[in-house]
Amino acid sequence: MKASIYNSLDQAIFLLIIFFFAVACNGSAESGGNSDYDKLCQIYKDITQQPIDLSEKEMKITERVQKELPQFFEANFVNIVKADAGQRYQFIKQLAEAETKNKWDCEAMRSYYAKAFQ
Amino acid sequence: MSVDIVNQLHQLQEESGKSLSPVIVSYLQDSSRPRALVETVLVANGKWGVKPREGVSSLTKSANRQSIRKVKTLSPGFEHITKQLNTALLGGESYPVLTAVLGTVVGFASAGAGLLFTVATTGLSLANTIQRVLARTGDEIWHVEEIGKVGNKAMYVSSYFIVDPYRSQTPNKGWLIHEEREEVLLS
Repeated sequence: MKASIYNSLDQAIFLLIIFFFAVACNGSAESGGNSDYDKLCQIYKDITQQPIDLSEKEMKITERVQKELPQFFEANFVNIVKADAGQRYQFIKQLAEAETKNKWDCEAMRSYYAKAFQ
Repeated sequence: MSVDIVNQLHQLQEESGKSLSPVIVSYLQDSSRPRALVETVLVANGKWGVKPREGVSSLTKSANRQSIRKVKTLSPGFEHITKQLNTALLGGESYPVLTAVLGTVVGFASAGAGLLFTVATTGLSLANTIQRVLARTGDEIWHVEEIGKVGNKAMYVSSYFIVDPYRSQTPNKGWLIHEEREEVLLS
């Protein structure tokens, strides 16, 4: 009886570990992984839906990127934010894919740059 | 060709040294098209640069070397932003009064409800004209851009001014609050 309980517990722990491993491996930009670009995507998700003025969104995004991703900010974002709005998503996608060697997308960011500036 | 182009550019004056943080500038700028004269490019080695929006040969025309536009009015309801801007402006530096050099480099003309700028060059040399400036609700932010040269390099200048269109005692005044420069890619 005792052995059976321990077996069930082991199985549950094993399944839990598998579950967390699967979630971690699936960490793309859209599902909130851990790369700088995934963090960047999360910043856009957090801010673009806020009911505030477009210029204020731009400022808040810039402020958060500077604070949370200082190296990316200095190397790239200070230039990206000066580019035309229509270019910015492609720049970020290009950088992300060059660095991660994987396809990268961030729907919140893509949609923001495609719609909010018209 | 690039040597011929550079020869036609105005020599820029000394850099003003006035600089706001990129966070504040991201609020002040035209969000959709921050720069009228140049476009940002990501070159092969992962470095960033700017090139003339209409191509290098377009720089022979003065219209493609200068741009001036109102980009923002500090509106009621956005006092928190104005406060943030003023905190930045109080960051230990004084800011020069633009009108001190109107006679030599920049001219203003009143027109209609606002102010129109007639710009000869934004080559700013304002080090001797010190006065602190703070923004107020109703003030306008103007973005002045120019492509000139420093030595034999083509240089893009982006500068922001606060203008108070209603301050009757000191009409037609603008204050430089931010300037930045980047070399222009000509190839």
